[in-house]
Amino acid sequence: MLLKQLTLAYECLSAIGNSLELESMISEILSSFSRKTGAINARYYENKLDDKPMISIGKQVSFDFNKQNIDTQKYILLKINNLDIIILPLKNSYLLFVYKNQENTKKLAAMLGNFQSKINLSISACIGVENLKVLNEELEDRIKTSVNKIRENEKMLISQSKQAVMGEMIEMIAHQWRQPLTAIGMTSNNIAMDLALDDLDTKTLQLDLHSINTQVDYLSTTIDDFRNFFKESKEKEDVSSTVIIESINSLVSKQLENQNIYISIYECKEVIVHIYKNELLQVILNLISNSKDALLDPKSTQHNKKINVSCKNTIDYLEIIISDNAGGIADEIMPKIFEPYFSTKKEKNGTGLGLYMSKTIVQEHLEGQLLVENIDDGVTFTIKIPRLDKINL
Amino acid sequence: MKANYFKTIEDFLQVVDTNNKLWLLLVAEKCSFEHSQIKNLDIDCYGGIFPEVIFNKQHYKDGLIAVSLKLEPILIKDIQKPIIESKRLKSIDSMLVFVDGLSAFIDPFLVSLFESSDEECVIFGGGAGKLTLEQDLVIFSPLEITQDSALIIPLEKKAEIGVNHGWEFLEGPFVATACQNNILEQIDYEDAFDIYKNIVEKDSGIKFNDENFFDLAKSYPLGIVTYNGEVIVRDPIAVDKNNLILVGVMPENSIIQILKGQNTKLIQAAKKAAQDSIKSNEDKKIAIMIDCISRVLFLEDAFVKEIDSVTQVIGDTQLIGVLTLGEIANTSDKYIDFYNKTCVIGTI
Repeated sequence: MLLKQLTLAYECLSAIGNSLELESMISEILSSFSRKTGAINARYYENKLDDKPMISIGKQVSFDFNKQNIDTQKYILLKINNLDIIILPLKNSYLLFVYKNQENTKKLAAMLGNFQSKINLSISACIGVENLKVLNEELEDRIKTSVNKIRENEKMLISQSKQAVMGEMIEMIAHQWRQPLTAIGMTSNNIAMDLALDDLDTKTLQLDLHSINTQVDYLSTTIDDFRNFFKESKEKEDVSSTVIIESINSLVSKQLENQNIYISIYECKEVIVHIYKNELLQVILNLISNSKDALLDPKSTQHNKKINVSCKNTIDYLEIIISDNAGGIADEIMPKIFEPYFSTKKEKNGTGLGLYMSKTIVQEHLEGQLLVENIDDGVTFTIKIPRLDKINL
Repeated sequence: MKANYFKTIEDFLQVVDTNNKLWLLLVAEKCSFEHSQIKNLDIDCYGGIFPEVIFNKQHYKDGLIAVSLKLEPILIKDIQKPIIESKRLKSIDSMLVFVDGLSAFIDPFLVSLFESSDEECVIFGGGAGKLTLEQDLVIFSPLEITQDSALIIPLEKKAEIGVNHGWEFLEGPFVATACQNNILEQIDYEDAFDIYKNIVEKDSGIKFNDENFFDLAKSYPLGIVTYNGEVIVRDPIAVDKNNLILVGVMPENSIIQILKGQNTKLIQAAKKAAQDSIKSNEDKKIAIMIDCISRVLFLEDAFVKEIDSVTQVIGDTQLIGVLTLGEIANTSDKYIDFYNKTCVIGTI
């Protein structure tokens, strides 16, 4: 008898607390206890015995009994018709087992009663874990919402900083257009004069019109370049380093030349990167614009104003290097230059977002790095973008 | 319910009374049986394939037993899924159940059967299959032959059952500390086969080698100790690395014993099962003996004595039966257990 009792107690105890999920833990207790003790039905009531059981396994038998004074006892043993019923009150719940033709139900009830505290502890652990899960889910949702909000803000800032360079762009367009417009004006004046002098021959007219058309094509291309820059990049694309450099050249060279800034744009060996093209251009334009502002600052003593744009291919990265000779960045402000709302150009409506957004775009959207260092007479910014052949898409 | 033994399926089909539309065929493994032979007939044949069949005082590796039925059997095609025919099952008060004895889903099927059947239902039966111990198509209806399936045969009268095995305690108790369904991995936190091997080799004086596992293990089954004093036998049929492969599941943390058999005790146990199956003293028309094939392998020629001991008890009542891979017996007062190496007798 001792072996049987020990066997049963050991097997039943082994079934308690094997899961941290309440329904699965209770189901295992009900199923194991039933199989081991010979119960034909087992139930778990979550609150009151009057409620529908949360879990019921085995044969679906029905019976009725007086449910009063049950909470005060360690276990209840009832005899209803040919059924023996053991009720085990727990903290805010009940276990119930139904037996048919079972001997020694009193001993069984006493044994189950001894498991009360262990089952209570296991239920508390499950409820604790469930609460933690809910908290965790809430936290995850809140983090998701916050991250989405940050992403939205970032998107807005990128858009804002793009708008901020709009004025600059208009100036660039003006510089780009001045020369072709003058050429068109001169050609049309020549035609008018030849017409007045009755000296207009067909061949000259054809040549002049061809010249005007060439200039108009150039103007149209310039417009396309700028319009493309303002298009939102929705998908990353494979872009060649030479295309990036050419785009920079066509966007900024005229303006800088007109402002007496000598820009050297070096051709580089072709390498492909997988990026949002316009976002990279935005960063480069922003860095060039900063260099230009520094070179044009009235306090600047630099007469031979220079900006260099070059590329370097390393094993893993395409590096785009923009350097100037505007005197560099003071050591004390160097650690702050990538902070949001930090600006040395407050009097010129500097937002303090340019470098912050540049760094954000490079790091978060282009998965690269933006580095800065002072050189002899100026500063160098290096944009490092992972090469297409080195990334797993 | 009338039963007859036939040497071949053709013999049965030549003489079958087609006025009776429903038939149960208990087919012995060596019988040349093709399912196509029972398709598209005027009669509906349900049944299973078993290692051997029992008819009157003999057991046969060949041939078949044909039993006329009054109530239509239910084929459960996929025992992995819970039973959905519960409404019809609730109306059955006694049933003979044959399940694919080598299916991995016998335990959940028996739980579902227990939950779906009537409160007072008497259930008995066993595992169909072949002695090759390779799972095959062994349960059939007029339309198809299946595996991982079961056949429920409603009986026209309330059955009375007796269950016994006669295997005796050799050593224990041990705890089955690691199990996966029917694979026993550890006994008392050590490799199961190491523990088992030491005890069996010591008692038998024979060493296990690559070829004699089943020959030796058939005499030393494992027993799961239950609260009711019943010991549920588990048959180790193979060894895989250091794991023991059993017929039927072994719940983890079960308290187990290693058992040993003696011819006389096994034969007495079958007699006791027969006695328990006729306790009510009611007039019985037929006795159905579900006996584990491994008892035949253990008793060998003495197995006829086990049948004799049953026929002595049941007298003139006709005896039919099957030798099975696992046995089932239940009177709905506890969950249905899947036994091994056990003798179950049901009378109606």
